[in-house]
Amino acid sequence: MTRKRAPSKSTSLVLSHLRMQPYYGYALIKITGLKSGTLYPILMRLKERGVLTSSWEATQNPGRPPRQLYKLTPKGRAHANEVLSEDDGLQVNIQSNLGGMTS
Amino acid sequence: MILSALIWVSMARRIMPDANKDWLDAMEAELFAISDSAMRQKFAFGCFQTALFYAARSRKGLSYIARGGGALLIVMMCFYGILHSTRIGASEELLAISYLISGLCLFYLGGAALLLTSLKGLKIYAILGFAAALISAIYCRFTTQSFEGLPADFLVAINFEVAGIMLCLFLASLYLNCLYKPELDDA
Repeated sequence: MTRKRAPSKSTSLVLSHLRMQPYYGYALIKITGLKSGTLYPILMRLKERGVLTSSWEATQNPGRPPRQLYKLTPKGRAHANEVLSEDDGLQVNIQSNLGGMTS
Repeated sequence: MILSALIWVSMARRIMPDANKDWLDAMEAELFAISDSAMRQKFAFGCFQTALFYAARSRKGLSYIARGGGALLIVMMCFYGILHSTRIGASEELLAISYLISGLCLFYLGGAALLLTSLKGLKIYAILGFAAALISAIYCRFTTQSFEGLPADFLVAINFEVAGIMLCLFLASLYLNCLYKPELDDA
């Protein structure tokens, strides 16, 4: 029987924001306050588990390369709902931070 | 964080395992979206940390970390030995041996770091180390120069050993180039 580990606070924070809307990497860094060295291992781990998916999106600025947009899969959305329903305090903080930051 | 952001990303690209290299493309694309240069550098440094983390998780990375970490531990012990010896007035020979071992371990750490990032750099490093050790050995042999109480013969022997190690390092880097040319060849 495998033991279910609760995700870390940083992972829960990332999941809670991604549950609201898709984000680019740097936008997630700005809104969560996490460093890139913390965020990207979380994103990589979530993608390995099939919780997250990514797609290349062309930017509005011409001459700039496309960027990766991260969003939750249906499995990821269910997982995020399960995780976040156990942590109402985190959701209150997320609501206050939301500002439609996708860029 | 004094290196340019793109240098951190290019170093990350060298050490990130192949299975995760596409993430570096994504990180590099984000760099262009960051206008503040300080933030850009912090972001790029974080990307390097991520690559280091994933390189360490791979078997190759763990081996480097174990060997590099071991060498660093020996260097720190030697520095402690040097500080302690200068305070209590231990023998000059012990102090000199501590200096030499510290220097050798720093040399080894440098080689390990180069092996992780650049085979070409490692070849140059090994050849320079070989030349320096050989010249030093010849100098000590013909001038009978001693160092902090250590006799010249001892110094000659140490230098020949270092020259041998450096030569092996050079030959090993040539061998690695033949084995893993598509991955480790420097453009």
